[in-house]
Amino acid sequence: MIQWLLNVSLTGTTFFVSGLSFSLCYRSTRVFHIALAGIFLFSAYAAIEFVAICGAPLLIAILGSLLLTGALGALIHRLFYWPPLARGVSEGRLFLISLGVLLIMQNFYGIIVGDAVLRLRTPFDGIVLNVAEGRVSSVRLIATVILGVVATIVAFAVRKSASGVVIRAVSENVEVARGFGLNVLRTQSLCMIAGSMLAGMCGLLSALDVGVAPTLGLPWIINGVVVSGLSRGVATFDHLLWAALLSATQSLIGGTLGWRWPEPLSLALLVVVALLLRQSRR
Amino acid sequence: MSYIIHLLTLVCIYSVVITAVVAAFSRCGIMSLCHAGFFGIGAYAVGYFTTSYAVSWMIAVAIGCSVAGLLAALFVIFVRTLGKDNVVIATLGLQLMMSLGFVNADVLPKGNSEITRIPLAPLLGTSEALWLLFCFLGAVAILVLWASLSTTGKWGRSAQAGSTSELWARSVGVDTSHLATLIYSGSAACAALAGAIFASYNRFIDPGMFDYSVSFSFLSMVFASRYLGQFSAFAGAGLIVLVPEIFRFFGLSGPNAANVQQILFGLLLIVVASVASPTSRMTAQTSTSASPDA
Repeated sequence: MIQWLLNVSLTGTTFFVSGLSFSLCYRSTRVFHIALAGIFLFSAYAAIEFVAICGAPLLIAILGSLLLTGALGALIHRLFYWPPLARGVSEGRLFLISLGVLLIMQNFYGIIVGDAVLRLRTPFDGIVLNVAEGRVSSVRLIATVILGVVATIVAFAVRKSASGVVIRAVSENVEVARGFGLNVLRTQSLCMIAGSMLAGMCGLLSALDVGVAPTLGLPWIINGVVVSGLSRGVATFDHLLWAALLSATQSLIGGTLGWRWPEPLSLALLVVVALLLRQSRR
Repeated sequence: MSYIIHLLTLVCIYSVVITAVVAAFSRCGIMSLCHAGFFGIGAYAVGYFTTSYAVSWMIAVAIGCSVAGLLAALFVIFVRTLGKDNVVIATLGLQLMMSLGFVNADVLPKGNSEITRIPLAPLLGTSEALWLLFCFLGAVAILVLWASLSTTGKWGRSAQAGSTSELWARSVGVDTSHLATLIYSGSAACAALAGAIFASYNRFIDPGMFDYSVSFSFLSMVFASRYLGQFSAFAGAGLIVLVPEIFRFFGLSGPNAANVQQILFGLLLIVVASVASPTSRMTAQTSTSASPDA
């Protein structure tokens, strides 16, 4: 039971962060930013390359890759999303643009690193911690706790800070926000940077824990989309609740029916979420 | 020569799927990202039933087309209220579920995710020229059938009205949701038929042949081929089949060639989705091709 709770909490935390990351991008821009899966991979590969090619210390590699990830998020928004957004193109076409960006990124990684699963080595590799009666790898526990704390700070900042109010205003109604003189481009860029950095942190956690491969981005974003769709608002604590529920459901299904079924469950939920997204906009 | 015949046969098979995607897009307004899945359902139905249970080829094809059509109909009924933009996302979810279904096909009794030694279609045998002729005539017949069904007669006029303006069509008594369900499930059945023929022709299938990246390629081709006129389905299918061959000619093969192809399709998707509205042009074509009495 303790082991199960531990696994659900750790997986739930990553779902929470991925949901928050997707919400920040989607709700502020209305772009179904599936290319976030490519950003998730970018951060992991950047850190791995910093260590392997430049010989950078682990901490510097992680910080450097996060900064680059934030910049990439802003660049994608400015280059690919902002011009069509300014012309008022439909959400469906914006989604296709995002899909195109994901295809380019994912296949670019495929050319550079191949299909192999790559990991970031740390001095803590192989150390297993006992938590109550459960066991967890030290790297996973430390990285997940840091991830959870950062995501909680971001969620609080969106709720309480002045910039957070602007973000929520732009997310609620971009035209009204523009009418009131708010800088929509800057706010959306800020959300894309924050969302990308959170996605990047998830990518780094994956690289530290189980490793990354070019095909792992899409399953990650699907869980984020499900959590984001079930939650209300840009960065509310709904995300935490739904992430925990999704993680518990997946774990129960995996434990009883086998580990090949949790993913189809997420996907079925994705379709339901698409319905809810529609309803919430009415 | 036999290599060229092989490529042309594949072009004809893929053109049927592209015709199906175009039909879903231009007549229901659904940018379908799950037609590779329907294509796979047809292929797996033939592969599974003919190799595991020695079911006749025709019955296996009928099962594949029915399952794909039924699944598509249920899907449209379920997601119809979402609005066109969100339906795209839902189609991606469906595609991923179908991909997972193919990967996990070994849970079926005597099932396997990779199926080899699929029997050839009856009458066609191993003659490559006969296969090409069959696939070409089949593709042209499906193209003509879709074109005539969606432009003439009561159904055609209703479909045109629905694709031009759903609101107007409903105002004159056209049941657009019923029509969309019919068209989309017909389009899925067409893709499944192409998949069944592909499985018999290739005699080997695996889940990678029907995954989401294949759906992305189909949709990219739908966007790209709208500039290519009447035979756009053949041109789009030609791009899907010939681009890897062109890469191979320049010494680029294996996984890297597939990656470069996907990058090109991604770029195409970005450019076409950013630059022009495909629906507006297709709607314009529909309006001009409609007969005055429509």
